[in-house]
Amino acid sequence: MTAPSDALLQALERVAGADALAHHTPELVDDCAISLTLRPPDAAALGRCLEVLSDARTGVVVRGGASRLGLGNVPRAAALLLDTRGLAGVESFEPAEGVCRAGAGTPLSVLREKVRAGGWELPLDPPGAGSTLGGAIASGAFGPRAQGYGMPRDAVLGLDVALATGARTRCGGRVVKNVTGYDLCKLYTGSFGALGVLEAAWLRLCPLPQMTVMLEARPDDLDAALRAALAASRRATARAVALHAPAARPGAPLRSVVELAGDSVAVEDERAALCVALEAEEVDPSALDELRAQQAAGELVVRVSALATRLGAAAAALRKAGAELLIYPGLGVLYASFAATTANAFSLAVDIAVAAGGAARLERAPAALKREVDVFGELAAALPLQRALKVRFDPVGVLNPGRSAGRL
Amino acid sequence: MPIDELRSIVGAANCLVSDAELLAYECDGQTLHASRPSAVVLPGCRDEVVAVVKACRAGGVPFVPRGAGTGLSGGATACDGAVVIECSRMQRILEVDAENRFAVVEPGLVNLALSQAVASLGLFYAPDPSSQLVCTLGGNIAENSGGPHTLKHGTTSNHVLALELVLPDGEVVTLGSPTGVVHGFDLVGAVVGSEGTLGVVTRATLRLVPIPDCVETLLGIFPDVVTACRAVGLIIESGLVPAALEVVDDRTIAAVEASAYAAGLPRDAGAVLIIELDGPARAVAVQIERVEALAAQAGASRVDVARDEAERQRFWRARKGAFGAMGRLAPDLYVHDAVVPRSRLPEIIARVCEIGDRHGLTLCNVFHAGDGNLHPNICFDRRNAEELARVVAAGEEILRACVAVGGVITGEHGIGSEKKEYMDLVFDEADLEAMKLLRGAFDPDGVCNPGKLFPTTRSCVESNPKARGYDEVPFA
Repeated sequence: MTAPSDALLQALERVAGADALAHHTPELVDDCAISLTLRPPDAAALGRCLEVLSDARTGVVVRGGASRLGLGNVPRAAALLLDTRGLAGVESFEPAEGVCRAGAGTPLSVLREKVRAGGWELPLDPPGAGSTLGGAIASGAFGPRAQGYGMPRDAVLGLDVALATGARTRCGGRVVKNVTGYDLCKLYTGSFGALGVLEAAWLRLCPLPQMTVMLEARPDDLDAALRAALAASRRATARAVALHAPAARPGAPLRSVVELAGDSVAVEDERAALCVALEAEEVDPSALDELRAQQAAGELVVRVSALATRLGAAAAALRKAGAELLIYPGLGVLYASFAATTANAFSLAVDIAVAAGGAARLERAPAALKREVDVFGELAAALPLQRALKVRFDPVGVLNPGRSAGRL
Repeated sequence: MPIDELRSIVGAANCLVSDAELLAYECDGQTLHASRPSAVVLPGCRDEVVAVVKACRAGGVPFVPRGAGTGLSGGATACDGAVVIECSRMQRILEVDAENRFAVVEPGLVNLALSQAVASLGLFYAPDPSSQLVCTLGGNIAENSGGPHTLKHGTTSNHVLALELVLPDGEVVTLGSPTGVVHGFDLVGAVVGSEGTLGVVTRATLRLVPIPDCVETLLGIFPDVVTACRAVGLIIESGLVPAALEVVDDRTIAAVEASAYAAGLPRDAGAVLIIELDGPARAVAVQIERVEALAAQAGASRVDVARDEAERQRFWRARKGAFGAMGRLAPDLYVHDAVVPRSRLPEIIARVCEIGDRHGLTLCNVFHAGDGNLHPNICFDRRNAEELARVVAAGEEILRACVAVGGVITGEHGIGSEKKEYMDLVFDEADLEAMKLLRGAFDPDGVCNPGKLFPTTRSCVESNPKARGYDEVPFA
């Protein structure tokens, strides 16, 4: 990777302060070694930095907690990491409203604790630990609890965004219903930082449930287990349903976990019904996290989305190909992990996903393989629009160049 | 204008050009911003939409997609001599997938018709704008329409999975996926609520949701509207998520009870609060008790639980018949739309009433209180220029008051022609420029529904009524 010029570094120090730049041992983003991190101390400095970077036509990889830095196409010409963790802090939380605002660099764990103490739940559930608010929104990351929480796009009420030019903008607002202007919040959420760098967000919160229960079953047959799990996911209080299937081998046990959350009487009723229907028993709340840890296992991990009715066929085909599966039936999503990297595993997964009415995304793979494919799959007809957006929002390619869908 | 070409595309019967025919298309539900289109075409299929769009482009004429014309922000009026593309003939349900809970529809399908068509499968389409008996799903998508039940079930944007869109250059793209999992930028999210400025939706894949096991409707009687709003605050703060929380004030009650929509509401009530709870039956039963206690704590004199479906319908008649009932009070009705943080409702509703009174206007409030979404409705006579000026002045004051407490200028009606000059109350130049980047990616030449959403200049507005979207000095 080309090192940034001294003139650029001086300009960045001028606008963000000498402490904002840190040289360090090379950090790998895919196979790109980056040994310089820029950490603006506040949103104003972030805007000024982007203006300098834009003028210098210098690409950056934007990072929050770095929990999803490996997701995305291989960066093209990124000279430094742009760290948003300086923009941290819960700026507003009013329990009477059920909304909050926090800086993009705020650790989700901090925000979660804060709102929980006020009787609300943060409706974001990304995989892994260490996520920041900005990272979770920018990557559109969701976990099994998206079934109860909704997707990140549903939780974001308003965003402050620094554009590639350094212009500082706002969209949406703090109210729960809003059609004032275009819904740019939707566009930025899940855009992997390709259109702008998030400064802060307003979020809609969920009420804390009166009661939460974790159930676990050990079914034998994948297809039957999946159908039962899908039925369970359609219960009113089912907040998360996950089914784990290890790579097929005789006697390998399946694990199915259901989290119920809501009003006590409804949870009690459904617990009783599900314990019978799934032959499940109540377990420690950590069971879901244990299962989720399997999502990151394997050399090559693919996320497959599918119509609920075709998820079973997709799961069977992927398992036959040697994958270990973590399935979220209510979301129509599964993660397939392959122990060894095979060039055709991803293309096989793409075919399986398309046949199931969905799409595949390469979550994790060695850089050499990622360079051969678009990790987001093919966008086909929508690609020209995606490109037109990228060109307009980031004309010189400052933000995560090459990383987003279509290698934009 | 290539009228002959348009005729040959859609057939002479579906191409309207006479003054009499075009008169009906001068405006939508927002009657203050009339502007006559150069023609109206009613395509019967996607390919006809494509051909019409291409013909308009070739002829250098802008175009405006339109559904039933029930919009309340002038989003479907034709600026700059645009051709209106009305999608009402495209009203087929193309697919219902009950197992995967989605339906694929054409844009001209009426909102309620979808719920009726899937009711036997135990499913419904959740967004229910007040006009759902006539408004189309294409229009709902353009405006990101809400309704009383968005509090729990979400707005249109939460229910659109995929779209087929004819772009302003005539290209057809499919965005999104029936799985609801987004790959690449969320273009469906960007198009929903874009007020018909990014293209013409010709097909939509919509989420269907199961009909709840149990629905209970409560009617809280309050001494005044501020107290009703306090109850809303207590309910939201408690963590309850009712399906609907609708306030009807005393002026609206009087109008409703004097009309054909009379619902037997107590005429001496200062306000009523309609509270709908849905979900598993035993949970709803407990929620009723909690709501009753919170309403009493706020100062309700009484809370009635609908004993049967007939009584439930009666409660809702008061809400849904409100606009019709107001029609008796004056020739014209201005339905305002603004949103405030929910905890600010008591103070803002008092302020709204004060503004209306100070301007000597008949102002009734009936609104989605659970979302903080106000609908101050002003009854007036457009032929009275002096009164109209007071209506406009009061409207602006209300918007400013809402913005001052952290609110926004529209929650579900859109900006359209009506509020474009107020966009700068909420957004600065840089914010609007970012929105224009989105517009430019879809419609670089600005031919799709021009003259909407973005402000012209403020100074121009004050001196020139045309800049507000009026064709002439209104009703002078």
